[in-house]
Amino acid sequence: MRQWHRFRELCRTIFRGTRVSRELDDELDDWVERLSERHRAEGISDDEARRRALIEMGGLTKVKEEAHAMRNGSQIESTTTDFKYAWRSLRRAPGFTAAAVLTFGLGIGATTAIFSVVQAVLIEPLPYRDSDRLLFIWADLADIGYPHAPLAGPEVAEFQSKASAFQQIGGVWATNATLAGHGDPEQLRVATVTADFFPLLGVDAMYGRVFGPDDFGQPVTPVLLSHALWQRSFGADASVVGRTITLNDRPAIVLGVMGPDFKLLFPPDAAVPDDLQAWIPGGARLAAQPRGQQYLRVVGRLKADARLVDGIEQVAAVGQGMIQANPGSYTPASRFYAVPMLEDNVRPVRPALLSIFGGVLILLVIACVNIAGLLIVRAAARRKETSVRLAMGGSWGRLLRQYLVEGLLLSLAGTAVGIFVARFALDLLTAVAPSSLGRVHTADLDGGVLAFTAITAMVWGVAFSLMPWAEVRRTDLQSVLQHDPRGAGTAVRARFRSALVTAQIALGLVLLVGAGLFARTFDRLLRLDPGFRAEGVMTFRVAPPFSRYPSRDAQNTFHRDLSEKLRALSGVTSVGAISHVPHDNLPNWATPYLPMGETDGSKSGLADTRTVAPGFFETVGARLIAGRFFDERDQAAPAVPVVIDELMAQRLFPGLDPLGQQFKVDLGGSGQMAPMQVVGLVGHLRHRTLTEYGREQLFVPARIVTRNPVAYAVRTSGDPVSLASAIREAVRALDAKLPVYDMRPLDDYLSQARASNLFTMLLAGAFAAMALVLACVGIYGVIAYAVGRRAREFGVRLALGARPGQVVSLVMRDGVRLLLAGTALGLAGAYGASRLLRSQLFDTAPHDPAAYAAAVIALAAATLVACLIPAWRAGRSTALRDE
Amino acid sequence: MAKRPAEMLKGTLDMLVLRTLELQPLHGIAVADRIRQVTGGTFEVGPGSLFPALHRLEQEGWIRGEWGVAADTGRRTRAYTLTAAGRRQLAAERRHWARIVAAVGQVLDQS
Repeated sequence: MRQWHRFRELCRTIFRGTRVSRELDDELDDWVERLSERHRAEGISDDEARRRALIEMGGLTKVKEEAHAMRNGSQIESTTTDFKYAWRSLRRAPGFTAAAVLTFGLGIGATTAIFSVVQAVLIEPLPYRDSDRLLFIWADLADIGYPHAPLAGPEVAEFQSKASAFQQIGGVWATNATLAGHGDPEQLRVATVTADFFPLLGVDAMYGRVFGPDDFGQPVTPVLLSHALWQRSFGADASVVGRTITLNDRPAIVLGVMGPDFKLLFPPDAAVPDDLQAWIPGGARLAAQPRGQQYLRVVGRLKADARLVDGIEQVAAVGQGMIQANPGSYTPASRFYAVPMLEDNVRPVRPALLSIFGGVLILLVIACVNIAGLLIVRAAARRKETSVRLAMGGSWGRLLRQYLVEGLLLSLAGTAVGIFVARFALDLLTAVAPSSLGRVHTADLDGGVLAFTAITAMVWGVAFSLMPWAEVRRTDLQSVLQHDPRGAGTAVRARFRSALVTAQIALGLVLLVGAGLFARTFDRLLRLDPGFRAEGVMTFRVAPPFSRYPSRDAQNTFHRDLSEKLRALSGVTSVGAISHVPHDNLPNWATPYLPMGETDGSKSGLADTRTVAPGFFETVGARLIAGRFFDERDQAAPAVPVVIDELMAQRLFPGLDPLGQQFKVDLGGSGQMAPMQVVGLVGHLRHRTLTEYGREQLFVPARIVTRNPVAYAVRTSGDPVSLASAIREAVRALDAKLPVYDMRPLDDYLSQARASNLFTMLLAGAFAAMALVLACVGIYGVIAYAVGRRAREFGVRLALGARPGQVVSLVMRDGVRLLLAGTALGLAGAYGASRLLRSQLFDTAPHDPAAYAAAVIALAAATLVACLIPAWRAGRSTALRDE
Repeated sequence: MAKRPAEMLKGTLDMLVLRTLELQPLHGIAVADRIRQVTGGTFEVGPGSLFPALHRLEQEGWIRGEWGVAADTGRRTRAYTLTAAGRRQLAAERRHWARIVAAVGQVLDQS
């Protein structure tokens, strides 16, 4: 019975709040009326009687609130009231609310999105079984510019037998293969793997199985298909397992289909693309292969009881032994090393991602500072309201709760916006991310990060939303009510707020300088002369199979015919071919070379080597310094005619005319050096990275050294893309079974080479823009607030004959002072922080004056405009007339 | 020292109100008047404290407030009646009070 009564009262409190409140009012009215009547009976006037009655009651609001607080469920009810009230009061200040919610949202959203990317790319374990047990093994040939060199067969064999900390060691290399019998013949990106490779990664096939030891050296090659290839070319038919397909004009049997998520994640410079389409077994008799042929990208799995450091030390020791046992095969500084797979995988992207992450953290701080500033201004504006409510008998606790709820509501709305912003930003990031951020596509909103940023923002927002409460708590009610509420006790707060804005400007400047430096870098990259002209050139690859074009003559005839057909296409001005397109992801081809008389193998240099068909240099606009480029008459005897770049000429023939000089090169990786004769000197091509000058370059005639596949470059006077179908037609007319692939404008490869710089620049620019907007909001707030406080003073000045311009400049002086302080701090901060960016800058000093100047000018212009608005308003002050 | 009598008074106030309403239903101001009258002015219950107290007792289910028309003023007024639960509560408080009086008396009478 009693419980039922309580429950009913609870429901009444919560659901009939208005009614309950009205009844309380009615009852109180009745009480006051009775008390007044009593006083009137003593002959006191009506007004005085009522006044005394009210005093006796001791503040109607307070009594009512106390009575209400006695009711069951009043906590719940008053909390909903608090939310309703907070909602109303936020809606009454739409400018403030929008600014605060957006600032929250941007801060939370940007931080969450960027951290989610960092999480997916840098932190998340690689998708292999116990991936922290996996290590890459590389040869370090840094002294010839090759710090991440692949290994040769005998080297892998030796590690397999001697490095006992490893359970398995396997290798992979990327090649090409032609898939026929499914519509147009297709060129596939294929990886050849050693026996241990798939068991070592701990991945299995989705259908069928991965390679076992018996699959090596079979007459019919077993093949594993990628999920994408299986879907596209085999109609996602699971029964394809066991079927015979035609690969490189020979039968192959499908052993299995890999899952959709399986990717080989190698560092970008390892030349193992992550979009491989098929895998075939290879690498039998590793130990018998030539030691000079370094082509295997090697991964090892540690034994369960082995420590990471054991594996690393063992690789170094076994490697050292190998180098000592084969002194002729290694340069003096050569060494072998192992590095955890994830660490190596993220090596090229880590600095950029971390600096982006640093940027977004600065942005979050700016956002928080901005929120604090906004709430302080609001607190000042609500001083009077707060005081009146206290004077009317509102309780401190109730007010405190009210402001808490308001802060909470703001941060909740901000978090909601933040989730939206994060979602959008993450989609945008994955869409524009360069391919080097391979795993960015696995990034998903990280709940933990979202919670962390949201809670940070919430604590911050709630803390500063208590400002109006603290504000009045500190001051005397009477003085606020009786005097001009804008006058008292504001100096401290004004200083604090100025400090906040100064910090905001300083941090904003740091981000602006960062963005400026990245923009400078990108501009330098755009203006950089890579040694060739990419625009107007279409490229594609063909790989005429040796089964049908078995001899060098047959291959040469095919290429000569194709070149002629292409040259005859309308709009085509020149045609050439090369073994590698600049900035493609084919494994680099580097060959050891020696001066003619030198026999000591350890003294050999290493040159990036390409086979080039006649017309290529002319087509891409390479610079001929001396001699000639290749033509159809080039003969291998007495020496192979070669074109070298100026760097190689300088290394081999310092101070001499290189033309006609001879040297020797091991083109086949067999240890046999063949003589070469320089016929031409070409300007160095930046063909592997734009940011580094690179190694000496050697170009040999494709007619003499046959490579497969061959990349064609076709220059047109029109749009290269429109040439694609005509090119396919030309190839089909010559050989209908030959696939044409990688049809891409040369410009595309260059853009891709700049993609990560573009990505960093765009992000840094976005952060800087946001920081700039927030800084403007901040300084506008301060100045507008100060102007509001001094409106009367300005009115007096104007009335006494001050020109509006004088008042404007008076206000602007405040803004300029903040700007100067912030700029000075910001420049110091930027000077320190930009050093951290040094590794990511190209041809740009960390204290590049132009970047700093641009940042300061942008900041000054934007903030001064933000100050000018309230200043101009002050100049037209009508405060006196209003009074 | 200043706080302790007030604390005790809170419990006492409940008991006084319940006892006052045991005799007859009354409206709020009348409850205050009756308490002052009966205690000879020793307890002056201000309307500011009585009002929340009445509502608390009502929430406990010990008294029931009902709107009616007052005979004296002819206006709508809220009169409070003691409920059965209130009667039990009053009995309990009486016993509790007696124990306190006895105990305090023992302490004071100790020689």
